[in-house]
Amino acid sequence: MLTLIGGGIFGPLWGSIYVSMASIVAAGLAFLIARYLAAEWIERKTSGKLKKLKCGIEAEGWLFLAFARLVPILPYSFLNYMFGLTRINFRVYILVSWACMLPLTVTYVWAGYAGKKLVFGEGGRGYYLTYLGTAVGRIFLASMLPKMIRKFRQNRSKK
Amino acid sequence: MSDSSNQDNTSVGASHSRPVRYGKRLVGMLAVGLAIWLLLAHDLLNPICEWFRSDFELWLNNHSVLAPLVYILVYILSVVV
Repeated sequence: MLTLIGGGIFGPLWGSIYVSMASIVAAGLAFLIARYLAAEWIERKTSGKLKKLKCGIEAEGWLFLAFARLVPILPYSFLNYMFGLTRINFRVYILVSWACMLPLTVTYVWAGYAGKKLVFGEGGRGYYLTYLGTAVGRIFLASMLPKMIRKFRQNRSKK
Repeated sequence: MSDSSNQDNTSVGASHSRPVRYGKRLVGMLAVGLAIWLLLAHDLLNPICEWFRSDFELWLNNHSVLAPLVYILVYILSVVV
């Protein structure tokens, strides 16, 4: 929701930059809090899911993180804390998270921008279709990424 | 003995924290909903929406550094807290 609002307020370019900055700082902060300040408390709260996450990181490393970022099955803030309890390196976590969150960030920011243009009627009908078409196209492309990653993971595990 | 007292404490804590948590979420959602409605609504209270929008856009234009900083701070707080 905040990403959509960011797109509406700041536009596609600056919106993407600000949202990307905010999301990566938030992800890093939550990771560090989980690793150094509240490890026991979070571990107690999330024991079942944490086990799966730890197994995934042990088995696949950064690729598992990339998959988790591209396929938002678990809530974003929850994932940030959970990854703080795994053995993943902080720099790798930040780099992979940033790269893998970027496609969805840009997509949502653009959708927010297009939504604002549509609601306020800025531009003609041609603009409406362009905004809407691009937003839908980007969402479609972003939804294809998880499938590609899944195939990549399957091929990798076969080897 | 100590285990059961711990369990009691956690259950009491959970029962107290749950309404507070839901309350906070509700207030947050209402605030976001109100802001969106004021930004986007066309038909209801149109002059108020227009004033709000124009004031907001003016503030955005006048605070090109502060506005993104506030947004980033709100974003970080909403994710971390």
